[in-house]
Amino acid sequence: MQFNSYSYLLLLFPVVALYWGLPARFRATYLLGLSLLFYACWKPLYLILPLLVCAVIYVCGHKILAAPESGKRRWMWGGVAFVLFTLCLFKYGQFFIDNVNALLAGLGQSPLDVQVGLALPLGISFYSFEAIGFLIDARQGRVKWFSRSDSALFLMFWPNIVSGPIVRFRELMPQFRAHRAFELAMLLRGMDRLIWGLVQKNLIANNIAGWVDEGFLSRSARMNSTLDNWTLAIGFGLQIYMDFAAYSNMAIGSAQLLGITLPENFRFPYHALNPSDFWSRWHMTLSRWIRDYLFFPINARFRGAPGPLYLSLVAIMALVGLWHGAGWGFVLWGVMHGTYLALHRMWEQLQESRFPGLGSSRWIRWAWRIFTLLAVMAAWVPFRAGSVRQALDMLRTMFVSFRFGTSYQANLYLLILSVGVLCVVEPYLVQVLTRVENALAKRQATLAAHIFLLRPLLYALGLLLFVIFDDRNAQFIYFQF
Amino acid sequence: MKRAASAAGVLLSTLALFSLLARVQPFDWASAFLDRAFHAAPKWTNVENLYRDPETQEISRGDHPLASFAVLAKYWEAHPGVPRAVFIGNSQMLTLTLGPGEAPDREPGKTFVDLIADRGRQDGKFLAYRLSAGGMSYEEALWYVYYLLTVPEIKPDAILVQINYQFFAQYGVRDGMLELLKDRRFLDKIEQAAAAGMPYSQIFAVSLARFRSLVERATSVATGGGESDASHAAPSTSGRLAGKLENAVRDRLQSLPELKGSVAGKKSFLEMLYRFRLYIFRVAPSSARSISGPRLLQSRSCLEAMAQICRDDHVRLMLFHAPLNPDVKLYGTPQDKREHYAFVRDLAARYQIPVGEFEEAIPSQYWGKILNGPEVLHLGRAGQTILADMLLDMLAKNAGGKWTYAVQ
Repeated sequence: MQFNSYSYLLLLFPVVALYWGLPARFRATYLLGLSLLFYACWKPLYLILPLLVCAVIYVCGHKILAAPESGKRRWMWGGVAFVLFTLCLFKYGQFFIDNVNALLAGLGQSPLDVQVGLALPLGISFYSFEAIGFLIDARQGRVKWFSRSDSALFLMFWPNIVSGPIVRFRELMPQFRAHRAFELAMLLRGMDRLIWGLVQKNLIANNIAGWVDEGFLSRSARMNSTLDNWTLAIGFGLQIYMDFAAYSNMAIGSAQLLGITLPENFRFPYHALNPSDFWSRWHMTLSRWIRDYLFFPINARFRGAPGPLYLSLVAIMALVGLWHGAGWGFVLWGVMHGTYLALHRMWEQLQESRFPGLGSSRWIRWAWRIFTLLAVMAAWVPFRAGSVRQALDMLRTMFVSFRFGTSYQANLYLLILSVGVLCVVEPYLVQVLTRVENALAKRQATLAAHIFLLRPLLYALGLLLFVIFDDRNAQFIYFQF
Repeated sequence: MKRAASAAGVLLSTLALFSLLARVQPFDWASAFLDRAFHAAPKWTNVENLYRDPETQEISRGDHPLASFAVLAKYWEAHPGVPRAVFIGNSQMLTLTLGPGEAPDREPGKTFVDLIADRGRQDGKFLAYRLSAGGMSYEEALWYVYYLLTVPEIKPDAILVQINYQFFAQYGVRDGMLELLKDRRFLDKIEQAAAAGMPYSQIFAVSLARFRSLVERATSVATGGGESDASHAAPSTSGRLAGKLENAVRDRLQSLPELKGSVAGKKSFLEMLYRFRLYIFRVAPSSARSISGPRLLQSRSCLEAMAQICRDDHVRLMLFHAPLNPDVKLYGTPQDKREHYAFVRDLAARYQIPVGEFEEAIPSQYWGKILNGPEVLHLGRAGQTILADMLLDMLAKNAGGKWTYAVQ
């Protein structure tokens, strides 16, 4: 069931009303039941896998809490190995076999006659990372106690199981355990996020998608001009941002209706000052997972030595790429980001040691800002392209062998320009709206008009746009990850 | 209790306002406001009361052509032995924008194809059919040609395709036209075309995938299995249960006026955006441009394919350059025009296709206004008549033995 489907939206509000009508002690069980139903709507049989992961982290988690120091380590690695095994089997099994076969073909050997033939379980990348984080947290003493249903609800909570945000046990569980009373602000904040998400998805992301899909067809991509390819790269950058931010907004909004606050996933990513800053604004819950459970532990071993630091940045980002999908294009995307991060770190170290005065230079800051924006957009090409070869062809036209002219209708360029401008003004728009809201909240009369008229009017307009741009066929990009 | 009542108040207010907005079409108001602010031509110059005849026109304009073709098959069946001509083109064929000095009329307005169809019918010499849709791409034109040649009941003797440089930048097959794939014979043809490795093949493959996906969703048979994330096709998140539920919900909601008007709502919203494009970004239909790259190649390959399959099927293909307002320069450079004409000439020579050179045939005094600029493509009453006569003449000269009609 998609968040931008009629059935989800119609069911959500009665479900939420019932949640608040239940005695507080039953609410967590009710949420678990709903979450299982939500997942089962996709394919009931595939419920077995996340439930198995729940059982494993429950058993391993308890063993970790109870075991002596050496045993904790063993149980943690045992649990992590199981989760990684399922992730690799379902997500990378066929990819691995295809690559082995390509290698064998290169060596003149006959290929392996093996087909994994497994469907990619919904949300496996997301709940696997949550499960691994849980086990490491338990090992490090950040998880104290939990029940069977706690571990299940943590992993299966419906708003974030399919595409995140990737949450931590310690930030979610206290909220399930707290017996809060309903507040109108929960509804308003939840509706804000839900409706804006619907508009982002149906009005903006879906409308860019048609152009991008055409432009990235291999035959089109071979003939696109330099301007076409840049427009398409930026177009996909805007599409994936609007698409994923829409999903995150709807997930956060749905949880907010239940009084549960999920962590944010985006903070105006295309306003990033440099590549490191980009990753503190883009898919923030994945970034912090990578930082806390991979980057810090690895670099602690090397005590921050520059060489290993740069290499680890590239290698970790390549893995992040692979996490997105079993394809070399994703790996290339990760390597490009790793390289940007390493370059930025190099510059920081160079600037600190050799040119301390340059740190406050406006020109340098703007140069990094522009570099980051262009570099991030260019990196979307391998992420979206059908193959690495196609990506390299497109990147060549963008950077080396320029081709002039435009291939598409003016509407494409205008659409990308308009959505780009929206992204530029987005933070200022949020500020203005917050100020207006605060001003209206000061007086009782305007407060009532704001809550019962102005806000519903905006919600209604958002719903209207959702309905008129409804496309049952359009799924969220991140569902495939 | 008070909080619950407030929450209910917010939700009810939202629903009531949504219902209101869906009924009043606020984007039409915005468009009207913009038109006034930017001194657009009066609305009546764009004739809304147009002649409608399902026996000579595909009246859904690409949204539901199957029903139209069923009517056509019956009509043609009732007139055996009479030569049949199908005109394929864009909105020029279905729009009437009054020229200078032309006043609104109570009679439904007729476009040049309607006038041609009248003449053919009056004399009982031939049957003409208009197969047009706003912004029709050449992939869509080819799609239609494949269909016409696949279904014997509606196979014409001649097909006249409009050539319009700016429409070489159009792309894809609209959802409404996908329903033709329900015909197994046509589906086979399109599958072959999609696998043929031609420049348009990928677009046909995309259209096939879209059709299958729409059918799968509509019938709720999504299995959710077998997807791989190695491609960019996302796994189906609907699943069997959710798909059935969504279908049931949609069936129930379909009768609500708020949702019924969604198509009109989208059109209204896009019309508003179009005005922004025109008035704010100053990108008008009359803006000159160069077309290059994949779209140009795809459109050209579609015309080439039409020529090939019409020749193979012994159907007379004719092309005509659409008349354009001589006051407007649409080609980005003179080279664009030369290359465009050279392509059409070469194609015509290779397949012995007659070409009507009508691009500059309608003098500038016959053209009206579109919004706040000169009309580029859509003719007034006088212009429609002139073009109809020229096309009748072309039909008569290129009858290839089938046509007995001649312009008096």
